[in-house]
Amino acid sequence: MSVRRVVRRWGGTAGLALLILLVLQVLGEWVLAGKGIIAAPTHVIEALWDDRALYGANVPTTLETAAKGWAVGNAAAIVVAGIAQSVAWTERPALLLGLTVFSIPGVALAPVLEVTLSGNAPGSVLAGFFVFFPTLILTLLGLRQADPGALLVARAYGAGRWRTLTKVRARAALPGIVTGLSMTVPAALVGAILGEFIGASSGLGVMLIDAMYGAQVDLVWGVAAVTTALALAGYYIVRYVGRLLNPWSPPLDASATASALDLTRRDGRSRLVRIIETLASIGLILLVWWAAIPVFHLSDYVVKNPGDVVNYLVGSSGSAVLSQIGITLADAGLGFCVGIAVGWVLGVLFVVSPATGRAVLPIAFVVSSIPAIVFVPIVTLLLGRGSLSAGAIAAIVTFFPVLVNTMFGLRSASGDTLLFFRAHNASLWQTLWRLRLPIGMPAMLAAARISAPLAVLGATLAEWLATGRGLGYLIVTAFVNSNYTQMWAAAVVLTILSIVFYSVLSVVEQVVLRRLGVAGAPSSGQRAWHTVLARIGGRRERAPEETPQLGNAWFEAH
Amino acid sequence: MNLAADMDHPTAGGVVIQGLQKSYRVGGRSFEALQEISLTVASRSFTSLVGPSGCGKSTLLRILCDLEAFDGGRVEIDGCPPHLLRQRHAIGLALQDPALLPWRTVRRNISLPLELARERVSSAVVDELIALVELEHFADARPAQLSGGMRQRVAIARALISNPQLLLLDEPFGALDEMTRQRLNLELLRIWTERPTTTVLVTHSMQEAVFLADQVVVMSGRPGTILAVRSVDLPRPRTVSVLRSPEFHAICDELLEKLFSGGTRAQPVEETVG
Ligand SMILES: Nc1ncnc2c1ncn2[C@@H]1O[C@H](COP(=O)(O)OP(=O)(O)OP(=O)(O)O)[C@@H](O)[C@H]1O
Ligand SMILES: [Mg+2]
Repeated sequence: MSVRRVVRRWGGTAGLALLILLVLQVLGEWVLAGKGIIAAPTHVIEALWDDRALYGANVPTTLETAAKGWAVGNAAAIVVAGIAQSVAWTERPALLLGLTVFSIPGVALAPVLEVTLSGNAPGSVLAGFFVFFPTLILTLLGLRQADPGALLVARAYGAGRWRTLTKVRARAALPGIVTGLSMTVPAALVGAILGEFIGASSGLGVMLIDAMYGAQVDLVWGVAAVTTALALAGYYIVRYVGRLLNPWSPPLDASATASALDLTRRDGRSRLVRIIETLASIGLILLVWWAAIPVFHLSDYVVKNPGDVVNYLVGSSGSAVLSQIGITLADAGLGFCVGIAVGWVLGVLFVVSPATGRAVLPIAFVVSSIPAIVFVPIVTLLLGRGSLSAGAIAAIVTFFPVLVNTMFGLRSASGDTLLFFRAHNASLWQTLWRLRLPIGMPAMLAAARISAPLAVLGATLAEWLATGRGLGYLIVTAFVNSNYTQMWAAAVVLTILSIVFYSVLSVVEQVVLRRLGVAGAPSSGQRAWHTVLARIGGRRERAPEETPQLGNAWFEAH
Repeated sequence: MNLAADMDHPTAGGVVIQGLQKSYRVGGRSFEALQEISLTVASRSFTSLVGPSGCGKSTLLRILCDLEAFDGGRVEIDGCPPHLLRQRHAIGLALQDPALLPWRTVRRNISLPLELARERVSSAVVDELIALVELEHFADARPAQLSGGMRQRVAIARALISNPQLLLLDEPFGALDEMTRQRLNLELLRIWTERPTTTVLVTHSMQEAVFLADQVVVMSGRPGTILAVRSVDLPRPRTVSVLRSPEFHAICDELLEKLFSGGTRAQPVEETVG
């Protein structure tokens, strides 16, 4: 009985996984044998065993680097979220900070950190950067989701902002925090490995780079498998501990991230105020950058200030950087388009055919928790060292968040609306076209928006490691050649590119939603809040037209 | 009056339910939600369904519009099984949640069933319905700009657009405040008088049930059975003055007594048909 249920639930997934392994085995063993592209799973396992000492020496380094960054980045995110929630005016700067951190491509950051920090610190900082934003958003979302009734009770008993935060909101935020902590484990590993790519002497990143340049296929696939296993193990351990700490509510659905991002434009402040805030934040970042060099006694040979960067870019050699923009834009754009197209199409497919979704989704999840970085050598082996590889990496990095959020959006049609469509004998296609797609559109577009910086990261990673052109490559060559002004300039341009990409998408998103008439409805959380307020205040919002006139007769009759 | 007309022609159609049986599996055990339900609803008559929460009213309605399979018995609407009716787009449905599409205007929400039936949408027909529910000034508004009561009126107009053979209303005003409900009941009565349609209404208010209906069905729960079926012979067209009549109160009191004496299974007070 229960065996049958397990088979029904996991049978498809297991079958699919076996099939994939079998195909890899056939390809690696016979079809593409010796071509140095695909390693047969059995060979990977053999190699893992043979190289166990190597892994034993390198895995702990990477784990330590990742864990440090993971812990500090998440702690910072939770603290910042708490401050943003309790001190109203800090909210917008906090979200802007998070967004900036999220948009800075790791490829731009890695060399910059390498020249300013030492040891494994760059990897830890990168890991911290990668985990900060998701956890910030999920914590804020959790804090906001506190039951309005419980909040009112707390307030009625005289609890101030701080006590409300600790007694009610912090509890409500736990599911979000657990999701953030678990979801960011793979990202922390990516950060650590990326940090090890340049300058480190040991770690999985070093192994991966060596294996890649030495064309050791078994080793490349082995490192990929080990990293994925570590990411998944970390993910499940954190979830398990989270459930022990917080048994009464399950972790938040990770797909809530994209919808939570609407936090950034939910306030009613005027456009002017928002522009001023944004400019002030940019000014602050520039000021900190400028001041940090003398304050921390950084060498102005390796650390350039904003003035140097601007001078370089407008000067004669600036075109070396500016000419690469188009290439990176094309790489990231290609991957972005493919990634969101695949994510959207699969999302629709999995919602229309839930059985397919149940079978494929766990595999898509495993693929998504493979730290993006290990795809680079594999994809390069498969697709060569051209733009195609860069696009493929960018697509792999973007598709999963888009897929999950699309499914989340398409499924958010209310039960009664679905009943209505069924009672009217609506076809699958009609339900999809007239109900699910419009309802899911905000989540689908939000997912595309948050995928933009990821696409830039994926593309530049591939440029750096594989294609040998574009901003990603330029940054690393500048680093290797000690051309630090060029390195800083390229990093700044790349960051701006990523932020502009994100901003353009959010404008497109708002225009599309307004055109479709989907935007503007208050979120259900807000609505619930208004209802509670209205009830407490003894007033009910009603259109004037609705004032009861005839209804009085009913009362008179009784 | 409609009821009387149909009693002369018992084969004219309407809803016939005989020995309907429905059980759910909950936690591996079978649980009988509806047991031996037999009921007749005359064509173009109005039937109200009252009963304690969880007694299976919504389940019965879902069976009538083929959203739920049943385990035994017979269900026919105008001589057809529910699934044929559904395939012919001949069912109108309004639920407690108006379930409007927020991105569509009132007009486009109302015409949705015609689109789903791949029928031509005639704006004259839509306008007529908008006028019927008195939303002329809001034809191009979106649901977010309407009050709860107005949204519910849109839902009712939408349920009527395809000229359904069977109109199913599951607590359509359940989420509204008392006064709005009463006002909408009067409107529903007016709309129904203008377009008599075979209607089954689920409600929690006995006054509402009696005031609107030709026949009131009182159910009891666990398992869901029919306690009483009472025909309401108050004259139509009914106005608010009916609410003051002693006959009205007598019927309400009689049925409320049945409802509260529930639990023990009583014989139907009076069989309307047959
Ligand atoms: N999908 C389902 N699976 C299992 N049990 C169900 C399901 N739907 C309804 N039930 C059970 O069937 C019974 C009748 O439910 P139904 O929704 O029809 O009640 P109701 O009379 O409409 O109640 P209310 O007045 O509260 O709306 C309930 O006990 C409910 O638990
Ligand atoms: Mg019900």
